[in-house]
Amino acid sequence: MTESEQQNHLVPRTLWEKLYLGWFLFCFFMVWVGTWAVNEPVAVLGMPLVYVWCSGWGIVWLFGCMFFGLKIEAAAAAAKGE
Amino acid sequence: MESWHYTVIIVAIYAALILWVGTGRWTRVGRVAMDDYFKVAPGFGFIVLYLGIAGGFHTAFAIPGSMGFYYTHGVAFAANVLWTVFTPLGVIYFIGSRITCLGRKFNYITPTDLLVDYFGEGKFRAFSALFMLSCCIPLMTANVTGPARLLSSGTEGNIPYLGALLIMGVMVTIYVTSSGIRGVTWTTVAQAIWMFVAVWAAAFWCLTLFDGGMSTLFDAIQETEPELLTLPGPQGLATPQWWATFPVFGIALYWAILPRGFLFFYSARDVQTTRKIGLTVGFYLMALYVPSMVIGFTAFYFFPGLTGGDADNSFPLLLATYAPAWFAGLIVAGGLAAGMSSMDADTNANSAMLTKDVYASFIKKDASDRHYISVGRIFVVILVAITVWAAAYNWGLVVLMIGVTAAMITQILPAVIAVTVPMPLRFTKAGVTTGMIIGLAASMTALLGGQSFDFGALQVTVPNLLPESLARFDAAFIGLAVNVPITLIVSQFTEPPDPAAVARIHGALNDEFRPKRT
Repeated sequence: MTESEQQNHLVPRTLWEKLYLGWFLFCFFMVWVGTWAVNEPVAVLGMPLVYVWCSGWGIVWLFGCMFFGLKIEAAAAAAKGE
Repeated sequence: MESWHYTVIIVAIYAALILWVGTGRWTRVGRVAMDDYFKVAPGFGFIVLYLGIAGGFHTAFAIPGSMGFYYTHGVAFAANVLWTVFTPLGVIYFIGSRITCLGRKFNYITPTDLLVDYFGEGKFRAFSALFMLSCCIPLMTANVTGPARLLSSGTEGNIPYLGALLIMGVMVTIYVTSSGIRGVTWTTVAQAIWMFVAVWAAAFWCLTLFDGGMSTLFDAIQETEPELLTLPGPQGLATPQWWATFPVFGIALYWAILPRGFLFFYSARDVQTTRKIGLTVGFYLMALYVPSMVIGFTAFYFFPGLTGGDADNSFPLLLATYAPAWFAGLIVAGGLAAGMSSMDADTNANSAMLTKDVYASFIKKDASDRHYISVGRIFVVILVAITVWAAAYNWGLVVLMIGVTAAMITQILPAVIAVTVPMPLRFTKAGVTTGMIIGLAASMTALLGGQSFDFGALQVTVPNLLPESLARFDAAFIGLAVNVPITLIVSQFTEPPDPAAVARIHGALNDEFRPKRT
């Protein structure tokens, strides 16, 4: 295989792969960067806001990527003719 | 009966259950082969491997470490969301599935098999294996100290700390030597369920100690130590630099590429199994840490002012003081499950590397698989003995040792990505080796700089070579920031891997992950 024929697996190829990556990065930044915007000693249902913010975005992150990931699986199976 | 007798009875039930699960007929296999002892050749299905990975990825940091972290640093521990979600959705889903693909296609047994198949055999095999092995010893040691303290506290000291270490060591030795990774995985399934139930039960029990539940707990913390409720926490740990590097580089990126991770990925039935685990195991990982806040804050409310190791011991202290003995036994067993579920997986993976990458490659070639498995069992005993001995030596470096493991293992990431993710960049054996060594030196400088160590007659202070602004970043990140450019630069000027091997490996990955549309 020549270098020009080599596929770049870092780049998402299908729409679902692009959505997976986009959702992953969006939610990641909401936790990674967004937490600093809510860094106050405020209670939400008796829990610290920082804790609720991080856990809440973590759940949204998981459900979103699971949805897109299952779509990728279905598309890959279809591409293989399964 | 005295109250601690109940704790011993519950822990004995747990021990009997684990030994039964770890040595039962479901762990037996007719073939005598290395690829069906250190890993599972036919592969595990989704549910068993899901719980195996879920439990195996948790260490003593889950119980009681995470509670101690909340006690000391407050909501800074919310950073756990970054690694408990990033690792499955990023590293397991993207890299782990590729390790499964290659491991099943080319029947790899150790992590080093994957690297040398791409970069070439020779001394690189021994270097990689010993590098990874030396990473894991500190982690294994750190893993058993917390649960051993928990067991000792839970029995009011009637089981001494050393005795607790020996109980864990003997149990792990019995089922790992008996059944290899089958024993590891099946026991981890039971341990994953037990520790999950234990953590949630502990959180609900903590809430019964207050009138008014969560709101009362929040108000109490706000009155006594409000800095626990925001970043950077009372100790000033969670600075923007720490938050920006520790969760991802200090944990998420290394967690799944520990040797035990490779053995789990090789033991998946197929690529789809690993990908589905990547998509879903984050729910378990995150949910296990959610109750830790309640437990850590409750311990702070009842026992404020503890520091260092005493702070880490705050949850065992809370249990010993307020919990009914049978309930304390349930939680103590949960702590043992957290420590043993990773200790056994690490022991199996390290034994595999010592057997295949060192003994079978350099000491006795062409022996039978039965011989190598016997040698592997001897390595299990030696590794467990080293772990117990090191943990018994109270050198107060547990947290530092986990940092050492993270900083070291993260340095193999460029090599793993080079093999598993085809891309238009050049990676060579000399490049990744140089990157690993220099990256390790940089990360150790960041981690150990300014620290003093007392070895009795010898006292050592490591000079701090990094500027203060850089020293705030996680050591694994510093190492990787040096490692990657060095790897790429050296790779430009050194001999590339065998093109036939590269084409074979990339072909397998293309077939699986970039199939031509039919």
